[in-house]
Amino acid sequence: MSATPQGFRLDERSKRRTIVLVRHGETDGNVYDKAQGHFDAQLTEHGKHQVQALAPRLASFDFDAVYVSDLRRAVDTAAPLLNIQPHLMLATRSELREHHYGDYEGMLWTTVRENDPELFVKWLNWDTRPAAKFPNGESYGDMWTRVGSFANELLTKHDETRTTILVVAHGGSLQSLMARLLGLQLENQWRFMFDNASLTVVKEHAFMPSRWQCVLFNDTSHLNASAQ
Amino acid sequence: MTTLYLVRHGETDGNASNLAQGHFDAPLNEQGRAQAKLLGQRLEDWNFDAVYSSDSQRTLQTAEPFLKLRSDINIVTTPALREKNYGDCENYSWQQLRDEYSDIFAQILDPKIGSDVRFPGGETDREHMERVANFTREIIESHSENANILVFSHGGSIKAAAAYMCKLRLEDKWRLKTDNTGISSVISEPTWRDDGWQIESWNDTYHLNGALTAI
Repeated sequence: MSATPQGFRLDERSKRRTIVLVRHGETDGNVYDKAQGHFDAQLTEHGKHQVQALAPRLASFDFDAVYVSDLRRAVDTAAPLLNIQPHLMLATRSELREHHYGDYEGMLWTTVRENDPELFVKWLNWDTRPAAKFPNGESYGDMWTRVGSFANELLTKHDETRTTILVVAHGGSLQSLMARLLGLQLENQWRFMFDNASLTVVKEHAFMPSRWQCVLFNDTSHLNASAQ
Repeated sequence: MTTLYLVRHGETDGNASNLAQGHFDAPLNEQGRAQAKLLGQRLEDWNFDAVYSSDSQRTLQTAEPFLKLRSDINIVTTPALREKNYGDCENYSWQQLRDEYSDIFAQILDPKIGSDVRFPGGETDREHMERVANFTREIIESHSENANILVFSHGGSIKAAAAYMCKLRLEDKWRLKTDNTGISSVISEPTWRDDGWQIESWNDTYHLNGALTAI
């Protein structure tokens, strides 16, 4: 049998739904390695520069909807994009918040380790991590459920082809969201480390609607294009 | 911290018309050669302790502009990094595979059994992954713990290597997509919380246009 070069209909590709995931810019908590969680930290000066550099790249997309965690560092990360494209409406959502560390919010991770070594070790180990619940806070399983409901709602609400959505959130909640969208296992999510002000793109598969692929992960070229 | 940079080859005519090339030894087309040149310029100042490539023409040609800029580097080529072998069906279009081998095609798409299904005379996804994973493990072990290792390879092989290192289920590897000359990186022990390898970045093609037109 001869191989006839006859491809799939390439025009189908542009019709796929797209979700862009952005982690907030740098905060003091990131610099000093704190458990920020729902603690409402602000961007540092460096973080503000990062999100300014990110905005023109985001503006190259034509977003139909923008969902942002209601924490300040996420809202402030989306702000420069709204300056470029004032027509965008921003929906703030508490489901997109970072992992809730309860009584340990705002603490240095080294302090958490000293205060509660048992929980810390349980959380450190990926096998026991899903059940490690912070006092008056959440476990990873809780966040997985919370973010999973949001993902389902998002996909149901925006079911039209060609839809492009921006989500601005946090390192932890984005890991859960991406793993949910890609249909990965809970423990797979920690294999993806989101840097501050990074760009990630997931797209619906060209020929298998409702199955999603990661086409770009943790791109920070806009922060330093020549960096290795 | 070891970093493994996984780079997919530039465009071939087969890519442009959606063929399952496998071990079919297609050269880069004009677009692919232009991509390879931009890739070489992007990587020019990066630090690498070792560089490996699949011995297929399209990956060697992708590495060429980079190697011209870097006389300090010796490249090691190997069949172990080749694309999955499609056996009798190499260089068929995906459409043709779906039409002429509809049973096998459907089985391959079934996540429960797909990893162990082959086209006649070809490799299964599991065999392919094991081939790539064995070689990847070998090169990582042969270098120091802080090595930057660059690998020129193929879409399927890059996904297999990343899935293996990061313990993703084999049937989930297609959840990661690679474009021509996309740069992906996986790293070991990046943080004090880690117990293994993580994906640091995936499918970076900033050198092609500085924008996102490829997506």
